[in-house]
Amino acid sequence: MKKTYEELLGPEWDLRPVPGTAPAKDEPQIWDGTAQLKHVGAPIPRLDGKEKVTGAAKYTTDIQLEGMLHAVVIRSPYPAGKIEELNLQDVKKASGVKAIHEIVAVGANLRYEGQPLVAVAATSLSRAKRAAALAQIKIQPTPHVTSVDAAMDPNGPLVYPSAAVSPGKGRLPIQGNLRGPATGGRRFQSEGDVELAFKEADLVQERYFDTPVQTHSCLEPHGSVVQPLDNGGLQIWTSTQSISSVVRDVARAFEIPRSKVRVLAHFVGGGFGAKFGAGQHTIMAGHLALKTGKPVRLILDRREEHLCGGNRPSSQQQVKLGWSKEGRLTGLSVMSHGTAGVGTGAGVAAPFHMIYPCPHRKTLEYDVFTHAGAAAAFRAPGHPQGVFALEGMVDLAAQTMKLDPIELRLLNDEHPVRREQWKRAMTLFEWKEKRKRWPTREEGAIVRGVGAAASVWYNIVQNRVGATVEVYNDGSVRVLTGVQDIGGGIRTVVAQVAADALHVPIETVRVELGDSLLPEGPGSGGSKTTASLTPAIHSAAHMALQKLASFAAPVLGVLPDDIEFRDGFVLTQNGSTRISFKDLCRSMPADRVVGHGERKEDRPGILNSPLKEHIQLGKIIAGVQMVQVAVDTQLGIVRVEDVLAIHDCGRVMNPLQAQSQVNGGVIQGLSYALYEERRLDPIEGKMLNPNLESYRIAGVADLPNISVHLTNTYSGRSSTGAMGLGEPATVPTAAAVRNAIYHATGAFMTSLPMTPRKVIEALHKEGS
Amino acid sequence: MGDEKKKQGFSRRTFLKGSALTSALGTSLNENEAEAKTSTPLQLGPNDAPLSLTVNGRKRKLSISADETLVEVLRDRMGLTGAKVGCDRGACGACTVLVDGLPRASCLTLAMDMAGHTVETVEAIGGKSGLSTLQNAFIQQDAMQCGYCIPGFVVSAEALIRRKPDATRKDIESALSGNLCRCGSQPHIVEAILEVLEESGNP
Amino acid sequence: MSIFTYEKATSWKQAATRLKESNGEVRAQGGGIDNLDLYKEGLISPKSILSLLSLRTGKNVSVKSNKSIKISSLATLSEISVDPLILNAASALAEAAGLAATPNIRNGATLGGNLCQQNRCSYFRSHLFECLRKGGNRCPALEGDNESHAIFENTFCAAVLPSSLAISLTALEASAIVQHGDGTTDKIPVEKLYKSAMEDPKEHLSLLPGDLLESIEIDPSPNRVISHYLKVKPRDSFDWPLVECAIALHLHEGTIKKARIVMGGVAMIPWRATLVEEALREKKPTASLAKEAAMKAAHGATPLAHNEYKTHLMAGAVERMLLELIHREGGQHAPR
Repeated sequence: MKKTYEELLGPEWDLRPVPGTAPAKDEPQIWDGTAQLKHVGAPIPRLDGKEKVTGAAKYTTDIQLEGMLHAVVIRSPYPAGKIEELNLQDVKKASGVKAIHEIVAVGANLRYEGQPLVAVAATSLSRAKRAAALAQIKIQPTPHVTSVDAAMDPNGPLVYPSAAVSPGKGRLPIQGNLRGPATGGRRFQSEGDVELAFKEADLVQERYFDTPVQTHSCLEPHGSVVQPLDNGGLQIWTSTQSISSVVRDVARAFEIPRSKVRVLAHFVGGGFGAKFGAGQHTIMAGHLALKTGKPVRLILDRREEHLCGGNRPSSQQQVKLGWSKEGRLTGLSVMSHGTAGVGTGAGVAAPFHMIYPCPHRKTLEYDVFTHAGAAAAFRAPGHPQGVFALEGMVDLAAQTMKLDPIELRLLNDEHPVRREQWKRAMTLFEWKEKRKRWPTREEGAIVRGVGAAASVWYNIVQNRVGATVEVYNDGSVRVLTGVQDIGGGIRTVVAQVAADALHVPIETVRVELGDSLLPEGPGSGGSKTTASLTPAIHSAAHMALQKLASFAAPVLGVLPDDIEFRDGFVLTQNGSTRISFKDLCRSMPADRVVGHGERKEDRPGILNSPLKEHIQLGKIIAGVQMVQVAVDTQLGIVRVEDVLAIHDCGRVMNPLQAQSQVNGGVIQGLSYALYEERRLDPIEGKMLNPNLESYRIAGVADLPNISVHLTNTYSGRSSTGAMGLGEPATVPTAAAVRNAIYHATGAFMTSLPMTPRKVIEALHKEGS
Repeated sequence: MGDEKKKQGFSRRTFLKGSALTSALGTSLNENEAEAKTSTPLQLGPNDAPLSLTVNGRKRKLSISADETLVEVLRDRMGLTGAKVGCDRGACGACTVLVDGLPRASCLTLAMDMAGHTVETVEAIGGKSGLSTLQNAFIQQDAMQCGYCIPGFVVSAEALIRRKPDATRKDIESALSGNLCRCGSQPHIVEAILEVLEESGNP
Repeated sequence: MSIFTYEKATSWKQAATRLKESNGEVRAQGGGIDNLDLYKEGLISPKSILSLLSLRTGKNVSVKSNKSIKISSLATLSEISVDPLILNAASALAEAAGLAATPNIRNGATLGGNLCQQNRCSYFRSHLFECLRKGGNRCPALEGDNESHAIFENTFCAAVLPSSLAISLTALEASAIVQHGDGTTDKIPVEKLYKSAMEDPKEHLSLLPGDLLESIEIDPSPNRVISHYLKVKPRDSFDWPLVECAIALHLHEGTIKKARIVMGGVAMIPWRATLVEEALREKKPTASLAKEAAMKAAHGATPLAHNEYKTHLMAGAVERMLLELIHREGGQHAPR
């Protein structure tokens, strides 16, 4: 397994800034392809490694405060119902109960299993549970819809009584439980004339695909500890991927100024998109905290996580692609329906617009409301679903046209980075040899095959995030940022950037993060954390350095502009005088110098580069994955044996952590391909697998060998050049697995997850 | 938290002829002795009852409720929050601790069953130096991301290495089959364990 | 205040008497894996837990004077999976034990607990669904999601037997030594510990209140017995089986004198594939015999809407296992 990444793109991809695009005086020099960096780009072990391996790391679930109360939530057991009675007398009187908070009242219409009704705070968790069991709540179950097909029946029950109270109202038409169609998004629009395109195409193929609801299944559930403050504010420890979103939601919910809301998240046990915003649990805990004057701990259990912790919506996609005999994609149409439960977000169309140029594209996306927990953004929302369909259609066409699937892609894909990635992948994976060698009957019931798929994501950036860098008079450095580290390793990257910006050893850098008192950091979503924060760190360090230079100048007897910081030393440019960084700091007038920085807008980038198109393509991040599978045709079991993942994340900040990210995306992708699905009872609509036993996620023994390669593309858009990686890494995996099964068995599978049952049924249909 | 609750005596249903039960928790109480004299065996609860066990090398005498699980006792009474509750049903392994040297799901273990046994949590794995060879390997190989599952993995892996210094990759996969990771750190975790096994194999 | 009190058994007799007299209010416990799961799901609320762990002796596995292997019901699944006596004479049992659950659970779970555990049907395990086994009057799996459910004797209840060890022990024709609440003991074939869902859709154990499994005995055979266990599941990681199979072949000079082919994951009892057993009797094991015999494995199946695929898995599993045993035999019979 590769532990160091390889630079897959040669010197011609190293770039120099275009003259006239130099940074402003208070901005640092851009790190381009020529930058000599010591820590950035090096495989530096995580700074919080020791806390994590010794159990010293304290997550929200580990916070234990004096006098802390424990809260549980009584929830609706039905997908739909109406509250007829709500008698909580016995709950209030139960031993240990200090407060209850009623969220709904008699007469309320309930819309999903798990919907919170009453929160109970008591002196211990067991007391709270026992008290909750004493509630006399009578709910009349009402007709419900939990499948997309049932929800689309115009005569069936409505999740929302009218469009006026539906989520996402006003932007798209809502008819019954159907919201849509959306014909475009922020980055794409349907265009052209697909009917004409299909008429004129040499090959037209159509298929129907379906993917299930997938739950995030973070190991640490949602939860918060909320403590009332003397100033009328609240202090909150919470498992979140966006501290600032929690501050905002709590301030609004309790009508207190944001300055009186402090949110802490030093360690977060996973997010993957489910943990934005305060969430109902924080608000409920807040109400109980304010009522009792005591800190209140409210943590969801695993069942609650599956029911109402968010999920990736399902999809049902009717997909049609038209091709010219030269192998060019000339037209595509997609009609997708999916359920995000009582919420919205079931779109899948973006990849269809963003991977292969195609003059005629019609995509219609619909949300279908059902009586189930609302979806939440889940690692590249919409993309694994859309790519599962699109990249399958490409392989289908390649098979018909008797073209190698990668050759067909190269006839269409114009993204310069991805084209390069495909070429490298074919060599590294021995693609052509394996396509020829397999499938073969030699191995009895086990057949092997290889498949591939493209990844697409966006270089999303959050501007105006800030950071502070403090250099102390003992030479040590402290970086302050309100960002949260949910596992991507931003804590370490921040230290690496500061160390290189200040030219000091990383051992002297401490990072304080995870606190809303610190400068607002980016939310950890859209794979934007590193790209958003590192330029701010760079700027903050640069400012601190300038302040140091301004009082070093008289000490060294030169002008500030003549001072250079290098390898822990402060020198004059002609090298005639130098002192150590530490010695300089010792002589500072105060106990520290402070530099503050903010992320500014991306620069136009390096225009004379082969990446011009890539930049003009709306900042699209490219990636490719190839997969080798072994299919047990007798027992229907698919084993993924080998994965090659080549991804672009701009400048690789920390190859160790980047490799972990890609592994994570691939593993979630193959788990989505083979094992995961939320299962609801078709009659009562209740969830059947709200646990980690029958909601199956990939385990250690299920994993292939994963080779990760990272391209380095220096775009010069920001002072660090970092781009995102977390989401791109999970987009193509399921599609590649299916394509490999197609190669191995001839069975083209269109439904996830590809369980033994489905494989057996597909093989029997295929007759192979 | 770490405080032991106010000590209480046994329930009325406990018959202990001939023993002086005026003091609190029978630290001197010989259960076998008591039993031999009665026709009804000892019944602990519903009030808090004594539990003696060794945790991380120290003998502990606790007063707990009979329905507490081991993970609750470790986390809530002893402040040892390394073991986590991820699913509370023994499926995810985040609660893994060693009982008499063997990994156990502490969420599916009644604390009372641990009387007289030895428990080791992740907090003790590093010993006096603070970090075991395995823990160091985890850090060097980046065998973690969010870290929530890592205490469970460290404990399971440490137990394997102690028990089977010649473990193979298949042995590792089997030993870790009760530990789930959602972030995808399993490949690096396996590499870290292999590295430690390889290096300890060399004289 | 504890929901239940905690008692330690002083002897098997005492424990059985205690259970019988308590009228269901006291629940026996080995490792507590199933009890705690059921308790946390709100499916049981015992007044007292009677721990049998105090009855563990130093010796889990022994050989009796008549050459029977005796295994304490308090042996853990881990201990069984590595015991040399069991590995040698009853490998299907060691394999089943070694593949059950997760290592953490195997270190605490006992043989007795595993044999007596409740089924894993999602409807049964959720207090939000009524079902026959919980006092209700219908089986929601029949019209609902029955992908993991039974394909035999599934008219009233579609749950499957959860114990992998019961499957292997049935193939090995093992017996259970049962301590009754009235002080007597009995030796009952493991196969007879269970009632099919047709016979009794409410209670799957044929034990009476107060009965305790004290030990398991595997009697010796006049022939050489080879056995194997296979678990067919979606993940290589921990999973309940889609189907599982234990095979024991009694061989004499290369001929199969008796075959026991037992399947799990397909019914509430260990399912004997009797047509396959018949097809193998008095034959020499070959690859074509394996294929032919395996095709009869799912004979008589009455699949539900979502689980017909299990009939294919049954045939595949049996063929795969017979080939494996033939292969092993080939290795053992290498010419001297």
